[in-house]
Amino acid sequence: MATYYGTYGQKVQYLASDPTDVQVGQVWYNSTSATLKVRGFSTDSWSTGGNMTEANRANAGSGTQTAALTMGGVNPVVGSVGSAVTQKYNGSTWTNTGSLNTARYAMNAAGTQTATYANGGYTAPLGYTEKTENFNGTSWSNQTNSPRKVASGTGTGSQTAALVGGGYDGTNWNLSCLLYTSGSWTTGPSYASPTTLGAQVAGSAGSQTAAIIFGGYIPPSATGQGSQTWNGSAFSVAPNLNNAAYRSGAGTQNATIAFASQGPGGATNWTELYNGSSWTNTTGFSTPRQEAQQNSANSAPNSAALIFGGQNSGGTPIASTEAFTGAAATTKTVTVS
Amino acid sequence: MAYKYCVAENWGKGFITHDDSSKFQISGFPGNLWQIPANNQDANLWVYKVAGVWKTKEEAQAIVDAIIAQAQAEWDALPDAQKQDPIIGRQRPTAIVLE
Repeated sequence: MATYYGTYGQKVQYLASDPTDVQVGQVWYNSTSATLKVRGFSTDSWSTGGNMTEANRANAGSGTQTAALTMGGVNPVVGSVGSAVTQKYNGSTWTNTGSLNTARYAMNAAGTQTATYANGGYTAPLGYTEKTENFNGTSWSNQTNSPRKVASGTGTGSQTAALVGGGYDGTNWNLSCLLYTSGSWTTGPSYASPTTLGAQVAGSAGSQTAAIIFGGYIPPSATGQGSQTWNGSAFSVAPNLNNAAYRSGAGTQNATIAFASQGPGGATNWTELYNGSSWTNTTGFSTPRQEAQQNSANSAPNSAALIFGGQNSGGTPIASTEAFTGAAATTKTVTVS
Repeated sequence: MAYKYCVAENWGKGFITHDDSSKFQISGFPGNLWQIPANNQDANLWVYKVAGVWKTKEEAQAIVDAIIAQAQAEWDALPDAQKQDPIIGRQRPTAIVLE
């Protein structure tokens, strides 16, 4: 019978406790727990998180995987008025907190659980709106309106320094950005040409000075596959996604996760990672979603992100949450069965 | 790949763990319907853990068909202006054919 020593020319270490400076590929026997262990890599994976207190599609989100915030959205109960409900997530459960002053959906938002802005969206009977509110961890306060109405735009950054891309104003699909800085709005430049990302329901990640925007809806009937980076003053064309889809995003400009919030055929679970030079498909979440744009915790790193809400392919808003954990070195116990 | 189906309510955290999803693919469908690979011991144990009720492929397809049909009827009843609005309108739910 082959032996480990005979195959690798080394004996398995016999240790009373797991080594502290362990290397990938290292094998050892833990004499205390009587287990054989190996340092390997886990794969990208998803797990379910706590269900939201109110199921919504076209809700917005911010924060991190263990300290997230979601606000607004729409469901059959509230109808086209939209929801004002705001919920906090602690890594396990969602709880309601102070409600938006204006109920609505299809907003853009960014920031942390205790300092987030939310802008734009739609509410009946007002319609498309430029209303902006800031959340301080407890309650929302009205802020200066954005220079244009922004429905289904994409927001990234922080409450005090955000980038807002695209959006529909009730008449036009805008292919330019807005900058929200310490409560004041300025109009930014247009996307770079050729523009193969959408004016609506695109995803984004990063900061006000280093961001990436991707995917989205290109009127009248196309779905965006492009991505563009933003350096604080101008957009540049970046590599295409592998799959055209409406998107939600998390992470940074060069370490991004793009969730599909709707594919050309409806609900999807497509997930892609960007490393600064190319997009790669990775493990999809369990429940395909649509109209889930802007509903990720988008200041989280791309190895620990969260997606929540949207609706399933049957058209029903869903309350479920899923958490993404990127591949990482991990110690495993070798079992024989 | 061959699949099996079960109905189970997603209770939230712990329903699908990272360990589960790293061992096998779980796909959710309308009606609390879950698709898992056939002939997979880990998947079978997961169905036991979540107290899933096994469904044949035909039963599973019928569950999805009924929900999609209802959603399509609701969408068809929307006013045209709402269907065509780029924000409040939404795609007519499309049929799902289980593998």
